[in-house]
Amino acid sequence: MKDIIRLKYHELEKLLEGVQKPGRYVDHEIGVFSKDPDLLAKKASSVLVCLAFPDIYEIGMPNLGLQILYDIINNRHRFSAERAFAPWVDFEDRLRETGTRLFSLENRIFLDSFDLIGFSLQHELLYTNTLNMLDLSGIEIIAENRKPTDPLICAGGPAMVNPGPMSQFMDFVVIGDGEEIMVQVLERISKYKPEGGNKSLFLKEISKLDGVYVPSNYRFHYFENGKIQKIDPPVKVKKAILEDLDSYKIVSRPVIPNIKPVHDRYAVEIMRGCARGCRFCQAGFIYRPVRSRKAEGLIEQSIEGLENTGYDEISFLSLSTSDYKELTKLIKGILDSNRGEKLSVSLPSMRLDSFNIDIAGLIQEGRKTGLTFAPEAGSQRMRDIVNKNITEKEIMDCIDAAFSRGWEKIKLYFMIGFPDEQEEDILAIADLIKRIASKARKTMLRKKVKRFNMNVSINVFNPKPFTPFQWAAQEKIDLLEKKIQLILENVPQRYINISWSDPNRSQIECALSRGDTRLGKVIEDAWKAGAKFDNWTDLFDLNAWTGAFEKNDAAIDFYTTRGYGTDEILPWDNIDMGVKKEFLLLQYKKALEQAGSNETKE
Amino acid sequence: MEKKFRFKFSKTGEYKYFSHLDIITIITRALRRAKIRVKYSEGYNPRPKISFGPPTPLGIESSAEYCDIMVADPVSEEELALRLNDQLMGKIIIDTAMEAPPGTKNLMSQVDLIEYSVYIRGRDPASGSLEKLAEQAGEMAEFEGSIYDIESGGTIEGGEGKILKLSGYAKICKDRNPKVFKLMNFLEYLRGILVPYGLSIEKVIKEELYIFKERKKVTPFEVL
Repeated sequence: MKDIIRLKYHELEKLLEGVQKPGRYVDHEIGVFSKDPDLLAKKASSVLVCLAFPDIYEIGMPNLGLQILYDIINNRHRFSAERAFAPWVDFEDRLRETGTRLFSLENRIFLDSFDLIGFSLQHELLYTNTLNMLDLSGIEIIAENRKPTDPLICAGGPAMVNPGPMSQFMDFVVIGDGEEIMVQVLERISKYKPEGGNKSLFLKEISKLDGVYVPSNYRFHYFENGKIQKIDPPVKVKKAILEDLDSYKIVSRPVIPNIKPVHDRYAVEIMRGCARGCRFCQAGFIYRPVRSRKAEGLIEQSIEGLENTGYDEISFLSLSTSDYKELTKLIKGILDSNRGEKLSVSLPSMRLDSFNIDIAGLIQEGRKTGLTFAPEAGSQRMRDIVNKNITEKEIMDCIDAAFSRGWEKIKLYFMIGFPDEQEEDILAIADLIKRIASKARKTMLRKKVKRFNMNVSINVFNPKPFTPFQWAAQEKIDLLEKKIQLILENVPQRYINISWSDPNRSQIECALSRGDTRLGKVIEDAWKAGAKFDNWTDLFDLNAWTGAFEKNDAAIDFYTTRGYGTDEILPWDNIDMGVKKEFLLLQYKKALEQAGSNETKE
Repeated sequence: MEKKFRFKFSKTGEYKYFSHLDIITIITRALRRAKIRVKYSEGYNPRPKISFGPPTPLGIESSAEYCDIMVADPVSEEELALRLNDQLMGKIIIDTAMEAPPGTKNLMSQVDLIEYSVYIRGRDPASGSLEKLAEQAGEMAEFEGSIYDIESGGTIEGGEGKILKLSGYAKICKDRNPKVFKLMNFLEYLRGILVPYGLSIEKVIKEELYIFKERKKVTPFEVL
């Protein structure tokens, strides 16, 4: 039995002197579980898990997956889950200066004392932070270099559906829904740990489970041109699917952050999966099939959750909330139960049409501040290519409905760099922005026009694994920059604020998401060159990345601006996400046809 | 039906790492969980009638956090404290709650002085440096004209060497007195004095708030 080593409180006090936001590094929230690790250690079958989130506390805490796993694991008496987040740069410096290893929040257990560390990877730009957290914990980043006494290291989340690039760092990867598979894995750790911790036997056991990918079981063979020749053995790992969401209640006692998180509200998942099929959207495919919770249970459990937490805002989460059949019933049920107390309901990911504006009005009595709306493309042609099913008339009707009912602000999302995108399509974005602004200003009450404000966010298209566009090429950086310029030049920016994502950063994200096992070395070298918090504009270090690609004779373009051949073996072909490759290909061909057919018309 | 209450709580241990705004959110949520309804102000943008005493700097423990609330339900002083403590689960402890007569001025406009204790450690008691420092207390009170008084609380034995307690009364910025006492600036100044003596600051605690009433300093409860 290995010792559980902890940081003492007075040592923490010393470390936190002068650190910004010290509240990030202590627990003591309402809803926290803190099981005595020494008591647990006496039971041979106990398992101590660290749920590691490779971003700061404020961003990690609102993550629903983290709260769900924390709840499920801690509600089993043999298991204990504690949390660790990426320390901000000032605290990392303090840890490194003093030679202090990274520790969990609850009992300040050094991470290398855990049985299992599970990383939640929400996007690819957190890869370097993951390595950094392992290194700060005094754990070898490469799986095969680790000692038998080291914790098992695993990862899951949307950025792990293509496990290739991170595979050399992970003992295993969890693909799909975590609820059931996590417990099954912990039961096997509990079984194999007392027998002297035979890691290879344990990995063999868990690789039999749906949803567990063990990288060391696979060999990737490459052609000289860099494409994949063979994945050996040719066995696919199926993702884990939770058939019935209602088989788990929503988390009714979540941990309530003591310092202000990015989303400060009670979050409830009402539906998982999306049937819309926007061809660029990875979430729309990897979370299939669509499963809903029943409104009745949701109402009851949400009320309980609100009473337990004291939140004054509830957020109903799904990928496409307007497709939730019992939405009106759900909202009425919650609002009716809550007479006398102030409560706001937020519905992110609403498809906006006049009907939904009525619903939005229902929930935002008196507080009609902002609406979010994602046309994604400016021209109908481009919306057809990406399969974003909304017409300009629907958009305008919605703007009309919203602004005549008192809204003052709107946020629009667009994406640039889609397959077959022409200059006209970019100009159409600028045009649509202008038309929406002018419609809104004409419709809204005259005395409110002064307050009108519109935010526009321009994102760069990243072809992602398991989408119909997984084969498509990403647009070249200079062209992306020109397109951004074109929009800026054609939109008056007096009351319209435009923000855009950095094409340089998008290219790295794209390469990592479509990368293969050889990129592990690149990630390692980028991290060694100082890359971390790659998603933070002021910390993103392009040179660290380009240097790392060069050092490993890897071309970024190979993974970004190169279209992948439809006959090519894709790096993620050994993962079965439930959506057939033939279906994706059919959708891709349809998109290309739509692009072509319109060209001939012009 | 409405009642005004003033209650006192402490911010110790890990809770010293949460900001004033964080603590406000924590207390407000606990009130909701305890189903104690706070009155809202009338008007276009209704706000809950809840106000707090002067903020304590991040990293400093406090035994004198005060909060005034206007409650819409008929609860007693004991019940208010009990129900809140149930919901705070021992993370923050409300030690006293008192009903305040209608028209009681809010804390921020009432409070005149904040009492801090600074514990100073001397590792070598034979040097007499703690005693010399204690004699200097009066001089320190000149700091930026923002201190009302500093008293020596004598020394106690503790661990390695001895500990001297200084009690300082900082003036709160009011219209008549534009000087704002900044605890962090004072501690930096104090460290400058301590270094030659080989002394160090052990801990700092916010002890109490005072209000001048008929030239005497009284606590926010005594003034009610």
